[in-house]
Amino acid sequence: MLKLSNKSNKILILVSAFLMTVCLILTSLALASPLKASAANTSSQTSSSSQTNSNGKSAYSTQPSDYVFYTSASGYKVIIQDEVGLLSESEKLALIDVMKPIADQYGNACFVSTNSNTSISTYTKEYLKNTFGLNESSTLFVINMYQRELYLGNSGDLSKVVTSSYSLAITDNVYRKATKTQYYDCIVDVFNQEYNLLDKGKISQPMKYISNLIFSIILAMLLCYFYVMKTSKASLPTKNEVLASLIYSHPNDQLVRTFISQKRVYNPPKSSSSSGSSGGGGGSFSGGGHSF
Amino acid sequence: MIQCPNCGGNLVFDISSQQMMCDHCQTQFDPYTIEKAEDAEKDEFETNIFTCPQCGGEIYSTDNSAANFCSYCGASTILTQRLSKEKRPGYIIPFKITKEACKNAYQKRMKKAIFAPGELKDPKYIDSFRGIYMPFWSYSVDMDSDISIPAHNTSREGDYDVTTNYLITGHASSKYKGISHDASSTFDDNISESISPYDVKNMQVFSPSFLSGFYADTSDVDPHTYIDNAKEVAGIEDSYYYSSSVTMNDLVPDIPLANYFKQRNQVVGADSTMFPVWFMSYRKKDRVAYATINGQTGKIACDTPVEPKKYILGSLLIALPIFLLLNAFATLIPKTLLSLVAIIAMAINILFSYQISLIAKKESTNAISPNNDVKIGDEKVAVDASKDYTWILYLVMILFYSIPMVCAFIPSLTTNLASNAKIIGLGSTLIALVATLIGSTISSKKISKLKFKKGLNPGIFSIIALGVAFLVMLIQPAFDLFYYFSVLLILVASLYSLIKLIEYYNILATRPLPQMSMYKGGDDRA
Repeated sequence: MLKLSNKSNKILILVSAFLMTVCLILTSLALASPLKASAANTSSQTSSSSQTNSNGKSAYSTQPSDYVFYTSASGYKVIIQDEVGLLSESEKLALIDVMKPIADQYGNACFVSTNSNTSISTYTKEYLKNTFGLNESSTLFVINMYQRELYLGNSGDLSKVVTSSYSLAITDNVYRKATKTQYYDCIVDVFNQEYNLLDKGKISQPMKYISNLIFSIILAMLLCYFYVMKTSKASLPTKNEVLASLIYSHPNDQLVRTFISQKRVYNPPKSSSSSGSSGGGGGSFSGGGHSF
Repeated sequence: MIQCPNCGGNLVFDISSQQMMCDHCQTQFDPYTIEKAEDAEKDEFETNIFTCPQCGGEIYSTDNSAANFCSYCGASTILTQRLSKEKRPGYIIPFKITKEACKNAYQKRMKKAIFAPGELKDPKYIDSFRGIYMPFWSYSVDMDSDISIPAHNTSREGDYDVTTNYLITGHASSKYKGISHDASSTFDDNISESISPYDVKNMQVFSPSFLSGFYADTSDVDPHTYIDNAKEVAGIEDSYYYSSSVTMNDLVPDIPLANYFKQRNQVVGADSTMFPVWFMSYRKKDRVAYATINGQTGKIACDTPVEPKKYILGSLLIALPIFLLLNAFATLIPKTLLSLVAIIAMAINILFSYQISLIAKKESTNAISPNNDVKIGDEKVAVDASKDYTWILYLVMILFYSIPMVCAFIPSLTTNLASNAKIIGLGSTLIALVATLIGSTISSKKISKLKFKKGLNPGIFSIIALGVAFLVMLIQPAFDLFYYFSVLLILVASLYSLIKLIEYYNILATRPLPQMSMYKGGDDRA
């Protein structure tokens, strides 16, 4: 019979056993859910992806059938490319009105819904690069129904204002609407918040502040502990200090060194290969997203 | 009491003038001339011995004014007093640091101890510093030997590494006087090492006059006890001296020099000496903390316990600038936050295991004899002989626990839904979980053997929190609340771990109340 040495050991074992059981159940659920998701997305792709992958076009093609234009006086465009069919026709028209102020003053404004299996950040960047070039001020909000991800990407001057940090904050502020399938409200919210930001307004960033606060507290506690450990350490005297405190002499030292042997080993310096820096493409990009 | 020849007042040793001074007429006298000629030739001198009724600690003095607290256990009590004769030490280093300078040095040191209990900084408490002469054995160690030391140096010539071997031969001799070790079993070796060294060049021939106004501890350690240590110190110093000499300074010896010289050193004498220490004790419940200051150099060694409330408050204050800095430069998404917090929780639990190891190591100084009996003083306390197999059970638990985790983790990597953030999140929480399980297993095994236990092993809560974190990462819910809930669980578990860490640290930073009848020297912490 094994002997459990103390109360905490017994509790730890009971807790582990409980957690293991819960873990097994939840793991089974977790393993089952991606399969369901895949199945659902496969049927969804079959019905609505004719505009993209099935046509043999690239995942970020800019010439699908379901495509709405508006070109502002400043030359910037509004593009709504609803490949998955999340919006009704009236919603698209209303959305153009929401996106217009950005196109009128700041840059191209785009919304894309897709079933692409490309990483959503890559998709967004490539879309902006191929459509306008990363030097041009543009903003793109993507809803990927296959990955169930939202992503807001910006290029050119817009990326300097709507930074990745803000993109993360905006998508975090709106993802609940996407979860509730309120896609139109979600998209409107994204462009309204972005316009506020561009118009030197402010947006709420609860996620940022909550996360940073928690991280700060736990990091500060750890740092304080290290401080305690450092300041409580007693310093032992050095050899030099000990020697200086003693009365000592070396009255009869007669030491000589005699050469014994020499060994030479060939060891040429290793040739260091200098890695050339790869030239980055022009333009700037910022972005951030959230699952829903 | 030494009386003033002029007025009959009490003569005490004045640190500033290094003279005996009358506390009534302020006349100064030379410490040696004030002692009667016939007394100076005797091997013993008269003293008052003060004994603590609570811990049995003893100190003596040439004064007969009552002592109203014990420096060893911190008890506020009138110490019992009796006349006795003490063996006359050979030498003494008189106090050079005044009580004011001692208090200033202590206050300066305590400014860094921002989480220490407020009482430790209270001026009334600081005033309880007591000047005590501690007995030391001061060894004279000589070496006079032919030596032969192989050594080499390496250099670079073109494309070649060149190693040249030499033999250092000849005659080496050294004479050390004043290699000191404390000769009081009540004075922790750990403290005496921390406040050392004492400069023995300022050592003077002993006179009881120096004790007037101060106290002294009795010498009860045999001079043979530290002979090997004295030879070791001489060996280290020889090694340092010769390796920096012209003959050897560009060579690397092929043998450990310190040990080589130690074997050639001989102890030729041991003088009984008295070294000055400013001493103060802080008692809280059944633990005591000491603050000691070298009365010659001012070097300080303090036990600095931590007040958990101050620690938490201080951490929150430090968190504020970190928070502001993070807001300026970073936006943590909940998944990243969970990964980071999991890794920090792991670090805290590893620190906890490390701290428990330190305490267990300290406690193991109470050697366990082969027949499984713990020897405390002259008593033997039986230890339960049945073996503890808990760790085997833990290992089995870890294996079982990791099966569903691994089963779930590997498929999640292969699915095309897995992005880098997800993989990093899963990986970091899994690593944190496994490391915490292992750390807790180790610490739990050690805690079960500790004399001082402080509640449940915090690893339990961290394992639960990290288990939940891993599952959240696995399921990847869209709602942030799941991540925040998991982060909060880890935060609470980490907070508990850190508080336990501080409580165990306080065991390391303080000592049990002394029981002088059981003292055998060495390190008495834990």
